[in-house]
Amino acid sequence: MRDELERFVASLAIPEDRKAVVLAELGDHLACARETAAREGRDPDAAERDALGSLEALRRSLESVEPAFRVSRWHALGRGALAGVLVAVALDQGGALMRGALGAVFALAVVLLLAPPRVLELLRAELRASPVRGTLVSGSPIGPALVYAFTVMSTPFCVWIALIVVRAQSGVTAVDVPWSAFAVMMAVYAVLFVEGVRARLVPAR
Amino acid sequence: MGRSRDVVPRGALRALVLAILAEGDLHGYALARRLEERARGTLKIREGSLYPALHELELEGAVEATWTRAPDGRRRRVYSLTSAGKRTAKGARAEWLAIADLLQSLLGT
Repeated sequence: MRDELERFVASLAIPEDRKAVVLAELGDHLACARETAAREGRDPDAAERDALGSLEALRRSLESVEPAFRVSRWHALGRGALAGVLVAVALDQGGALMRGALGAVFALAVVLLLAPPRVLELLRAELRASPVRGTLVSGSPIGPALVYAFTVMSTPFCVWIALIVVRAQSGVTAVDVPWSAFAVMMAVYAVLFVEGVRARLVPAR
Repeated sequence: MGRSRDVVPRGALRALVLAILAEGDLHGYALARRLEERARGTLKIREGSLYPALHELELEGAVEATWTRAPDGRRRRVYSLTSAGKRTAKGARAEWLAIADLLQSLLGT
């Protein structure tokens, strides 16, 4: 059983340091089940097997939770800021080419490529989390996925505002805003809306 | 009493875990056993739901885990409620008791 558990944990798509935690924890759980069964005169092997339950269900649950231990808020902030700056510069310097659909696709591709691993699963876990009561309002705790979402959404606008100010000082006051500038914002809000509704309506597993 | 249930809604399991940890620090197996004893055989807590729920609560800062050793020397993680977790436990308890009251009045006794 221990070998099976080790093979199972090794095959999980979770960070390596979390595999050690999961293996130690599940190993302790099985050992406890075995000891209790022996003490109570039951079959230890059957008790161990019963305690483990469905490995596939365990895999799904662990692989949806564990990757979040790898991604810190600072890590997400850095990735979000980098993606935001790249989008801002590309759309600003790309000329007519980046004004329409191509610019929108490029911006979304950058955001997806630089997203923290399993950001959607992280976001779902964060949106399912118990609300935090603040002094003024209550809301979801801000985890790495929400940090990435809001950073990647707001950074391009910060860069563009800075560029407008700098250019205004040199006499350029015309501001031209292509619709592709809003692609990331619209996509992020759409994902937040859909996942927020799902987190409240879809029964928890 | 009917046969034991293998599936507990995630929100309910989180509330149950928080309620048990509010009584004292426990490792995963002891926590599962405590819940099963409390349910008098009507509930079966499996690893597949317990540890992911504990790890989610850890990510949210509601519980914290410390490493200890079992009597035979193997490593063991013991969970305890944080101060934020104590508040979450109170809220979850009130919420699920309200839901239970509502269901009781809607579905009858």
